[in-house]
Amino acid sequence: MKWYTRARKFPQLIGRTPDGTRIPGGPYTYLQVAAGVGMAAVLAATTGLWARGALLFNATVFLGLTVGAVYLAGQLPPGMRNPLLGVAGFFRAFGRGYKINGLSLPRLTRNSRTALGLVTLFEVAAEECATEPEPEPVVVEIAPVPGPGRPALSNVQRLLLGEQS
Amino acid sequence: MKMPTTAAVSNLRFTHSGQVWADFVLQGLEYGLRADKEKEGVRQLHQALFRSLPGESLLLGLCSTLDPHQVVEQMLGSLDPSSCPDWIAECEATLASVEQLRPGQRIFWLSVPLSAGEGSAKLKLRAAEHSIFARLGLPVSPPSPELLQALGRQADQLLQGIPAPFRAAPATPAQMVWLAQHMVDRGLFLDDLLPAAEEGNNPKRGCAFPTPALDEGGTTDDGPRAVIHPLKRRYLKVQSTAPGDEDVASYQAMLVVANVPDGEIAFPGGELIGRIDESGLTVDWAMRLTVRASEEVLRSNQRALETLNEQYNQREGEVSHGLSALDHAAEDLAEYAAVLENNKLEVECQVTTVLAVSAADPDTVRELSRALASWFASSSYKLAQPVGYQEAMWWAMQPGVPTDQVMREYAQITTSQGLSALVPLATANVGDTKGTLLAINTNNGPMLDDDTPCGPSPLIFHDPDGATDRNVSGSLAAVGDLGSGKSFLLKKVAGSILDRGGRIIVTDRTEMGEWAQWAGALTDPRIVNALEPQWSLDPLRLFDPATGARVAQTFLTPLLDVQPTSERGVILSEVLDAEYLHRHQITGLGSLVDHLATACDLDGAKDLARLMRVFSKKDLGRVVFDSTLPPLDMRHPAIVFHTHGLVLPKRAEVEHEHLFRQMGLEKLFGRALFALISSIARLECFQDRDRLAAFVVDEAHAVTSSPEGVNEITDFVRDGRKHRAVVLLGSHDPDEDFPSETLRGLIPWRVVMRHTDKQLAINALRWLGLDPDEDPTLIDKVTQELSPELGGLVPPHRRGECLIRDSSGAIGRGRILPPTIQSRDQAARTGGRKDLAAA
Repeated sequence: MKWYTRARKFPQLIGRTPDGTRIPGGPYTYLQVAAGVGMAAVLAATTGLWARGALLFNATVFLGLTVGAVYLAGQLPPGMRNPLLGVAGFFRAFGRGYKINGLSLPRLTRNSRTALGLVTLFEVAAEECATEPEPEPVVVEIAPVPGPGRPALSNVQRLLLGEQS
Repeated sequence: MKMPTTAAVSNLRFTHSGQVWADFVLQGLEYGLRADKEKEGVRQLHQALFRSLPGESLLLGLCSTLDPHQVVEQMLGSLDPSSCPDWIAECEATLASVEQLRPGQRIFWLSVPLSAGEGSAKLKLRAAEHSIFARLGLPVSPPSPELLQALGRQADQLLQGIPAPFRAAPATPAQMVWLAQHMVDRGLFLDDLLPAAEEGNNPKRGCAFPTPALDEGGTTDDGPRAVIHPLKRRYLKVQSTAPGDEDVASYQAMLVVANVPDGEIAFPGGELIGRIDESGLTVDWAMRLTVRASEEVLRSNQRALETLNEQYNQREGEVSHGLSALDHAAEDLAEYAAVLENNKLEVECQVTTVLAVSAADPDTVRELSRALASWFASSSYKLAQPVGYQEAMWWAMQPGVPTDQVMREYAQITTSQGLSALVPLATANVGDTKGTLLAINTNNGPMLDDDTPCGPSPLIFHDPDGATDRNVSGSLAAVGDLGSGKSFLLKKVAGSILDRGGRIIVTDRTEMGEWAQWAGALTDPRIVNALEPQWSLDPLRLFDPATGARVAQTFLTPLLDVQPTSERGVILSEVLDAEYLHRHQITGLGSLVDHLATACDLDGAKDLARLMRVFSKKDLGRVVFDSTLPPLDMRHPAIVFHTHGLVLPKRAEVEHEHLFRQMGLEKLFGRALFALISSIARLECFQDRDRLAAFVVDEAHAVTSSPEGVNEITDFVRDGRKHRAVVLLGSHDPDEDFPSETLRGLIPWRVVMRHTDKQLAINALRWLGLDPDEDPTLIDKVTQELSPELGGLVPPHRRGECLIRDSSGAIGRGRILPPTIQSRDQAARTGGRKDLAAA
């Protein structure tokens, strides 16, 4: 047997611009690009907050933080995992308290279930509507016994396995 | 997340999302000690199963603990408790021992979302309406009969597509509730039995399902200001909200397969999920599957190829290992495309495998998750516990929950052929469904301690009584080295037959009379000492004249070495006639000798009498010829023939005439007496068809050294099932001690215990039905892995290890469990003080 995950899920990097020019320091992961662009955009939109020095100083901070974000994003192990999911999970891990039926509760009380659980009542007994086929007995038996009347594989299943049989 | 199930009708699960799932309970396929060819057959059935699954599905393997009361119920069966108080005492004692052993079994579950087709929008609308109405406390209309019929047809089609050996059956609503409760109580050993299909088929509302409180990282265990370390809290605290459960919480760690080996994986050998219990851990697993047809996959592969080419372009000139990784991906992609091109029927299986370990406290669950990751790492699989997603993964193991982004992230890709090599639905069950609790199944690995099996281990039952009802033989033979535990096993089985109201007839060749002592500890046995008899075995006195005469002739013919058609043979036949015996008032063999010597007119009678006196006048002949001894009372439940001191001929002496002619009187008598004992045992055991009877021959060669003995035992095995009679044999070498092919082949229950000799191990394995030539490691299993000596002593928890083949032909590994009542355990042991101390 063989796993073919590697054939379809491989790290994707960006090393060239659309016109074919090589990006200096590349290739970069999508996350690095997103981190760099995101950091640059945030810094550009908030110059009023941080760009208080000379132009050279401000440019150095801008470039330093952008490059730093790209560098840090590059330190995450490349692979198939979506880094955004990882970040989201990290924030989720800081949540506190219980979740019951999709609702948050800091601690349990005697009536928690009554308060948060749903009690559904059907209008008509559903037994009347059930038209399920007669179930075969299902007891987890220890002793193996031959299967029911059906053959191990139907003709169609044999056909599906045709290349081996 | 909301509890997904809003209602369960038949095996249909209605969910909040509007999707309807069909649930099935599957049986695992036998995959214990099997030949490679049989394993390939099991793999092919798995492949057929995966190909039959449309789109998404969820396959679960759940460790369910066995309820001790259920075990005792299996031990009791239909027995009348008032008729077997000793067995009741054993059952009561078993309750506590099973509680400690915590045996388990694996339950397999398949859940498939049904495609609603045009009704999809209606179902979604209905789910939304349901949600709003329920929130408002208004009643909700049940699913319409038309909808149920349409969905039922789809579920039926799915069921028909599942290969029959999986014995798939629609899950009942009660079973669905059991599953939900199992997920909540995981690791707390609180499982009830999986409800049977015939009970609990009534529809269930969503409120019937447990609503647990979920706490990611168990933050509620600390104060509100405690610092949270997410990396150290990768587990989920699952707290039942049922009244009375406030103080009990299950701590569960979910791990997902994050990386798989790159190269080719051997089969057999790579069945990681099928062998997961060998990890020694109690692990539940869930496989989120997406099965796609090859045409669809080829399009995906084409896109991957384009992306790959683009990546070569993007990374051109890069100085790193990246290009090499791309080369490997390209090779795999080419190979994968070729596999799908060459076989249009092949499908792609994307599988996300989630594994759950659990305990009653966080520290233990952390240790368990580390151990599980380490076990997988030994096969080059990497497990991950993504931070913050324990709850999401817990939900991912539940039917009715749609596959989310995290699950898709960890999906691994292979073909149905590749995935089937994991053989997830595998079991190694051996034995009957009820009867004597014979052993614990150690197929996962040997016991770790006296009360600690390796992983969830089922129990092995032996039901010789029920075998008759199933029209199969319940006879059993144990083969093994000296001191390997054969006698202990036979005593356990014989003791339980006695306790359950049956009767036993035993031959005991030991000097110390171990069987006589053992029987004395259980009951008040009749013990017949062959050399110092208190009871007579004269067949003419034990049975009615016709039967007695027949048995006597069978005894005397080999004893006197007369041909049936010779002159002496004819005289013997004439005098051993019921009418003749009655006419001449011959009531025993002693009086027969006197009659032949003094009152018989037949020619040659005096010569025959002289010949018989050779034995009747000797001490060793008293047990048969002494008329002053009272005849043995055959109504006793336990009869032990103590035959120490009787000399038996070697097989060569019987088979070669020149050696036979030189054989001493003791050997001639010994051989004939064993044949007589076998004959008596058979007649007695076959007498009552309503009461189980066992003939126990601990050292089978004593009986099978003569052709008459072989015939008696063969007849016993062959016909025993018709008379509720079994034979229990002990032997060192099946080839030597069961000389007839028929006898070897007819014994249905075969137990092979430790054998240190390689050739004897090979003989035993062949008799068991395994081929050591095909798999030489089997020889090591018998010579080195069964009850190994450590420091010159077999550790108590490794004693009694064996390979067992049951009447269905299933072969597994087990450890014989001693009787639970200590006095009975001690009575069955013969290994001196150390052995008794282990009891």
